[in-house]
Amino acid sequence: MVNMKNLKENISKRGLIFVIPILLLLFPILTTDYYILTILITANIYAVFASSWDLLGGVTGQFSLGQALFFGVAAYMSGALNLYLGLAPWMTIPLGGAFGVIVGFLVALPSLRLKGAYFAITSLIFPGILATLILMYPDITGGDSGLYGLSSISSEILITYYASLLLMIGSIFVLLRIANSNMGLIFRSIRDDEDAAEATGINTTKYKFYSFAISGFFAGIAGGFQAHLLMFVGPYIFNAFYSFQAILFAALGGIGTIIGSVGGAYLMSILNEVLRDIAEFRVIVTAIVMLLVFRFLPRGLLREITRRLGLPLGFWSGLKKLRRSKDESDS
Amino acid sequence: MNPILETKNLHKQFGGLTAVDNFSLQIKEGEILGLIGPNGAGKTTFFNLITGFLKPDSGIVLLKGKNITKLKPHKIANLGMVRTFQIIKPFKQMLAVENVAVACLSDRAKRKRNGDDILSKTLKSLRQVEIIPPAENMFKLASELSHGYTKRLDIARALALEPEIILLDEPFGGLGLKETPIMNSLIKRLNEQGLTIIIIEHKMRELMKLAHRIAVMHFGEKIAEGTPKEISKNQRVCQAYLGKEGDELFV
Ligand SMILES: Nc1ncnc2c1ncn2[C@@H]1O[C@H](COP(=O)(O)OP(=O)(O)O)[C@@H](O)[C@H]1O
Ligand SMILES: [Mg+2]
Repeated sequence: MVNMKNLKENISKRGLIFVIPILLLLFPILTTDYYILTILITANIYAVFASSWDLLGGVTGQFSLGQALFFGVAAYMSGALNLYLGLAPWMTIPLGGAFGVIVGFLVALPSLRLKGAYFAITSLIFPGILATLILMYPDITGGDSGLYGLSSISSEILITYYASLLLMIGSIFVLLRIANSNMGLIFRSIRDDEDAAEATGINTTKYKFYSFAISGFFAGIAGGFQAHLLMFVGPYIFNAFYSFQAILFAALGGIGTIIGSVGGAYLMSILNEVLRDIAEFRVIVTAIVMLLVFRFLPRGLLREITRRLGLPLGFWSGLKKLRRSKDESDS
Repeated sequence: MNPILETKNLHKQFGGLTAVDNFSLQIKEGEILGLIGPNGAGKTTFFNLITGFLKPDSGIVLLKGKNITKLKPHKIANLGMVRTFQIIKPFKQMLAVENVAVACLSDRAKRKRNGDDILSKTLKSLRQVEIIPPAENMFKLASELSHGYTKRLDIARALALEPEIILLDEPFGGLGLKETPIMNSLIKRLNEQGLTIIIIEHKMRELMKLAHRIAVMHFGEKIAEGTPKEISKNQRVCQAYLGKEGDELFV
């Protein structure tokens, strides 16, 4: 249970959260190995992708099984803008995010009528439709072989690493701010009980659109970054496997925590690489890790760690005022 | 004086079942109206119809003379008519204080706040229903609160919109001996402050003490309307409540 005292302590311990980005910024002092940095770059992209799902699914309760849609559409858009118009990655990635917003609005439409499992199942279908469209217009999309020969983020792995870190830290920071804002509070109320939120005077339709749009944007910039990192984008990007990964990483870290997705993405990316040599066991070991986490830490790694350390997790930022007014009355 | 809320020939059919049958009712400003009737009479459906959660097949709803029949629930809430639910609907994974803060973010609450910040508005509503003090109650998750507190949390959320009329769907449902009088005096106090209130109950005991006027619903129809005294003497009402429920009526 939260009480006034540990809420105050929690707020003052919030600074500890900055330890993680500082460690990641300093990491290249240890090694600039191409292979290791590539693993971390991938983890950063997945952290953004998973946390974008978490805002929509974990915070707003719109349990989409088709997050790969935003990721994939943006990756293709970034690729096409780069290939056909010669735009540089620093332009195509945000533009990819903008397409993620548009797709987000389109996917929000069925969610207004379909609730819970019905929406989840419907959302599963969208990426497949996109993959089919891609194959139908091979002249533009490259069809089965995709778009290749895209500009890389940078020829220097270190620069690519820092670019991905900037993307990750920036995205998580913004998403966290949103989740703890007034808007985030409304998102959570929609997750907990949509009818009660309506009855309370909240235009739930409007806020669901916001959540889809924001989620689409961050999934989109992750997709665009991935396209340039690999210098390639193919229709496999719409595979349901990608969508499930987003949910898995978020769930491992702690659904609805935003920042938990970072832990989930790093854990699984590193595990994947460690197990590369025993490829045939990779699926089994991965499954065992997942089972262990869900069995012993059902609310996710992050919630458990923060609980043990007494660190803060997200809460409505309006409560900070409480501390201020209390401090004044204490003194 | 014009009624604050009026329904004209409100009708709702679920397949072959007529849940609300040409129901016309007027609610005066400042009164407590009790809406009673056996289980399944259509009382909750009536609330759903006037708050926009269900659309009537025919008939209209007027709030302060304005036709609100086709409006969305949040629009109606922002016009000053706010409801609670028979099966309580707290935001379970949110703190009690966060539950009420959401209501303070509605358009109406923002408009009415003039200058006050969201947090002090929130605390005021929590105090009104006596969830705080003690202050630690507001840091409990809604799912950790007892049933009685959760019922009052629902009302606190509604009050944060500064409604003119509030619709309570079985506010005494599931309350024990200790909680019932707290709810009773809360409702009385709110009414004394000028709030118009409609209370649904299928038991009459609490309502007899509270309501200025009672309307009786049976199979979707209004079969009687009058003061509590008149209602308790009404032949048709006694028949509707025949058998076991007849005892409940006059306890
Ligand atoms: N959404 C619905 N769909 C179908 N039937 C419903 C629905 N809501 C209520 N009913 C039926 O309408 C009748 C009135 O229900 P309700 O309004 O909940 O009664 P009360 O609140 O007076 O106990 C009941 O027979 C109930 O089963
Ligand atoms: Mg009912």
